[in-house]
Amino acid sequence: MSKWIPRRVRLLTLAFIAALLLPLAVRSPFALHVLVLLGIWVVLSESLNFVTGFAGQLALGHAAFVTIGGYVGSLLMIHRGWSFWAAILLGGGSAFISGLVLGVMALRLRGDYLGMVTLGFGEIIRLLAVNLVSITRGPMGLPGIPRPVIFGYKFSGQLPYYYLILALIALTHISIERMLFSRFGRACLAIRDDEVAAEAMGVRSYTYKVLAFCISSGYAGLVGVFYASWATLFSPDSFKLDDSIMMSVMITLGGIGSLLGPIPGALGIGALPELLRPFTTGARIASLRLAGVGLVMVVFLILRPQGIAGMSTEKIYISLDPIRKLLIRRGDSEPGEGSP
Amino acid sequence: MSWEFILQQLISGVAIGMAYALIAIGYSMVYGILKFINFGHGAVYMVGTYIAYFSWRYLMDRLPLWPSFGLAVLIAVLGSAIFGVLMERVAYKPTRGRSRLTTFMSSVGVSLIVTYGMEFLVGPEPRPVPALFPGVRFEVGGAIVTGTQIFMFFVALALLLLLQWFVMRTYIGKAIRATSEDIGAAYLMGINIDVPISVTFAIGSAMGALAGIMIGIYYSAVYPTMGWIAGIKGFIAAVTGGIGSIPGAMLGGLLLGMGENLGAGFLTSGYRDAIAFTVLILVMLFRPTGIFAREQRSSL
Repeated sequence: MSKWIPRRVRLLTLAFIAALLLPLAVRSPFALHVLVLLGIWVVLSESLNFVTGFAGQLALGHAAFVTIGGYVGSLLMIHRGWSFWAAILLGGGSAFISGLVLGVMALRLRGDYLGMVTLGFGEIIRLLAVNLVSITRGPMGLPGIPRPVIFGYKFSGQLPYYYLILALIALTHISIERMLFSRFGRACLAIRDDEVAAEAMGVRSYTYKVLAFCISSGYAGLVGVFYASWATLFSPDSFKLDDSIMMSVMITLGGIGSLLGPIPGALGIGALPELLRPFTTGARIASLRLAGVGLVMVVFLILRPQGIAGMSTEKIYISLDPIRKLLIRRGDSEPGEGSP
Repeated sequence: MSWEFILQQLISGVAIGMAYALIAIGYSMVYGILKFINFGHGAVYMVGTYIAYFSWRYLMDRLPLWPSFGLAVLIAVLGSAIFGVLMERVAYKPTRGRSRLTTFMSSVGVSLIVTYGMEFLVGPEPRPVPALFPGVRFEVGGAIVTGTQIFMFFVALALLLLLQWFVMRTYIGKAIRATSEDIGAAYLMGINIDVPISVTFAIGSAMGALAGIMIGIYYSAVYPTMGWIAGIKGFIAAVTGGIGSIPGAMLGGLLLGMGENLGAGFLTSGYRDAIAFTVLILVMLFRPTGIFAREQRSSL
């Protein structure tokens, strides 16, 4: 029986069971708090990996969709008295719709230009959240977001949130994996590897790219509502440009386009501030962490572009002679175009 | 909304727009030659500004105002040029021949290292910059023009003209243009392509540092994360005017500077940056080769 189950699935199932049992060993609220935060990073990097790793579209505005989802969900819970479960669905939906609007406009652009436009979109969303004070209360943020209630049980402490984020990770991972092995997922991979060839095979690349982009944004919206309820506060600074870049470092570290990669990537980068804590104090941790993240990114891109877990098509081209390398990078059908 | 107010916004826009144009040069030339967006340019701009700031603070007690300023600018220009060239050698050259997205991501990493490394060293709080023209101001048609604004406009204009001459008329400028046109062919014609690439990075970084010094004096503050927004605005100016062109960078910078000042005047100043990003998205959607481009190439 076990012969038919791929090694990846067995590994993940074991890890999941271990994660379910982890609270038996880890009891301190602070440790659980860190674990929930790591879980948030896992979901976000898995969702970004879907659009950047599998569909090959560089997105640097992922934090904007977390912000949109977070605000929509929080406002519904605070002003309309919606339950958390309805709000998280609508938060995800609103991020999906925003992703659709941006994707339809921006996905005609390629590569780094798409990165800059999505980054600009992220900043526009943050500035709107800061300046639309009558709706968002500006930089002060929305306080007092109610906690979820399930079958009459009201969430309190870190433990229920830990299990909720585990469920969200499972949902994200399983749905992304199912999508990847469907017609839609294969189309995305084909577009990433060679858009011209994919078009020639009848794949409508623009449609699939937009779809991948808004699905990925939808997951980010779900995380936004989860975060708002967990932190009971949502502000324009909850998720910003640094966090978008952080997510792309996580998937680079894990291996862009690898199914398992985002998990070690997110855990590694997410745990960095805790690991740095013994060496320095206060606000300097934040600076040192971001500088360290940048260093990890550059070192991995140069020395191990396939990441910890990933496989790369790029390494085939690295050994070519210098002139051919120059010619390839100028050509229209660049190898690995879109898979950094 | 009086005419004086609009004129005032336009004057501020022209001054700051010329500084954006200088930043745009760094993006434009590097994009021209290596076909990737050097996200680390904003960080080099910040480093150049800090070099100028610290050397000026050091020299100020020992020399009169202008010689100390001139010397500090010179140190900053040299320092940031070396920094830019090193950045290319260490972080971008190893990714040559791979997808240009790899190089772009590497430049995002460089930007994080440099920006937050600096923040770790000097602390995040803004430092005040001494005034270069205390109290110098003129009245033109009801609007105020400060000495700093006039200084920014003419220095930037002179630098852009000098650069245009350098690229069009000198031997190394010719090599830069040849490499931009076709890096493979330039290599086969015996151009050591590392030289034009390094010169491009040196010039772009030096121009970035000069823009940083101007903006530092204009807003009388320097801080480690100043390169983020300024860098992105320089990029917006470069694509608005048409990436790869020096006159385009200037026109793009002026247009962006005036547009965001007018927009911020009509809305609230909190939306200043949002206007710039909206310009970016609109240009990318409708005229991705820049609004002054003669022909539409689908090179993006």
